[in-house]
Amino acid sequence: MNVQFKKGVLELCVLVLASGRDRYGYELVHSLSEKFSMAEGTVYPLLRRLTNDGYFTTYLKESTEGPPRKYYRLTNSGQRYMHELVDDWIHFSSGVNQIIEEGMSG
Amino acid sequence: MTKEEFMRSLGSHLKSLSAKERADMLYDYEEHLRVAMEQGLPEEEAVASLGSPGVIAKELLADCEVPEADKDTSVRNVSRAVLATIALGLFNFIVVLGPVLGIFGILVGMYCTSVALVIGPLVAAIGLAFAGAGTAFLNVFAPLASLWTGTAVFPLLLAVGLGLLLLAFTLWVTKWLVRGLVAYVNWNVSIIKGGR
Repeated sequence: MNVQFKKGVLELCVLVLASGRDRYGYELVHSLSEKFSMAEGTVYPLLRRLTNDGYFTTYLKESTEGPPRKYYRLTNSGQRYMHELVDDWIHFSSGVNQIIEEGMSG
Repeated sequence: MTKEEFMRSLGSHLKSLSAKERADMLYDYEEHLRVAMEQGLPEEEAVASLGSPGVIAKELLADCEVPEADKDTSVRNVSRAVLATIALGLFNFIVVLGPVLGIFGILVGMYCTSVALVIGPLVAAIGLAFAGAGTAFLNVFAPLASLWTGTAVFPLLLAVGLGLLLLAFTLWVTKWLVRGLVAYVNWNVSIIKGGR
């Protein structure tokens, strides 16, 4: 898959994954790598970027299994950004689906 | 690759960053591998699924270097900007100035030619009209008639047409040259500011 395209989609997925409840890094990365084939390590640069842009805040929380984990919480502006991306995606994917349907049936 | 080897390799790729920033970045991978192994993943496998440290480092560096350079007005950056300004100044003076003045001269020539081609025939036409009026001043339509039927009319119209064409062409050339010049000046400014 095209790298830029994949990056944009991963951004959207990460925001949506963290919108229900706060997540720690491994959780986010694992959810993505279950669905897409990807180098897991490249998700952290993405998380850093989204945090630097103010879409996430992070905090450390103790875990039952051992040392603390870094959690990502979606901010208000992150929420807005996520909705923008979701709208874009719905618009974009319905266009692609339409073209595929028309092209394959014709 | 073991966890230790991965962390060491990633760390060495991030040497150009401040210790705090590097530690911050390394922490995420340290935690990731720790959690993966807590979940029962073999060390080798957990490390392998992260991907190559070189690629990861490239992504991390790409995100943080640009904003840093914009903020950084250290002595080195300022002296670099001054050097760039002097070098560019010399380059512009010796290599760029001559051709630009030459092109400017050609443009001025083209404008003058096109204006002369348009204005000249008009003046000539007025002259012809007056000449016609002189010989047949009783007939109001005579000057116009002599103008339109006269053999001089065709070349005059041709000249006006050519003049207008040349004017349009020159305006078009000017537009693109101005764009080029603006782009070149912007490029100069970006070089002086830090070339990004």
